[in-house]
Amino acid sequence: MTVGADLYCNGYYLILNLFENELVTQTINKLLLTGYYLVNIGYIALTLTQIDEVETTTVALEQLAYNIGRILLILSYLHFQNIALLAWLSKRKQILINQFN
Amino acid sequence: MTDLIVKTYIAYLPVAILLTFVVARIFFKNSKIFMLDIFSGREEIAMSTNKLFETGFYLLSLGFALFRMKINKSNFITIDFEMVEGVRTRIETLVYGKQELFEVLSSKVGVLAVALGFMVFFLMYMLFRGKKKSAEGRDRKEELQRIQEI
Repeated sequence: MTVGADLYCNGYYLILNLFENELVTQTINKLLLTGYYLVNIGYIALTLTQIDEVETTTVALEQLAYNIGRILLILSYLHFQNIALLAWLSKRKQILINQFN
Repeated sequence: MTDLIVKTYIAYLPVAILLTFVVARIFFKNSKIFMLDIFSGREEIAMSTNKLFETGFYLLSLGFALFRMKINKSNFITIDFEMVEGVRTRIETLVYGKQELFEVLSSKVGVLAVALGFMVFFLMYMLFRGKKKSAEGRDRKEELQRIQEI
């Protein structure tokens, strides 16, 4: 069924507004965004083949919710990882500045 | 008539989404002040950090809510034994009514609410820790300045 394909695209656009931190330069921002798109497309490609026959509305809803929920969890994990990385980087920068002073 | 299970899902989804949005709105409206304090008044970075955490919170909680939406139907299976052509055979039938589904729905919403509560308290702990850390850093900076002046 093609319902899956249509609704997976929703997950794809969530990411657009993710990164707006001034700390990161434009380039790194773009790289991160590309990475996010790649993760999403890869996930969509993987899960589209996994779905077997959708017979009833119940199964369709279950599959959809399960898959979207999983990609959201993966994305949130990556997101928090990124925040931690940013925090670590800025802390290291501060330490370096203090050393030079 | 659509299936009762579908009706349960349709009831569960708006409740979960509304719960997430209300909690996130309240929490992140109030966390702005803490963020401003942590980043010692630098408004841009505080707001953007707040926004990043908000996005992460939405992702995490909606993902969790959708991930465990599926109702485990093995609870509703009743097993009967019948004699079919002289052979005792096992017949499984799905039996569920409004009561069972309502119980399942409430347990799902309850677990989601408890998870959201844990998340909010964890974030509050993080905020308080960050506040303490930044206050310590400010104190150290002041001390250094005083030493340099001497």
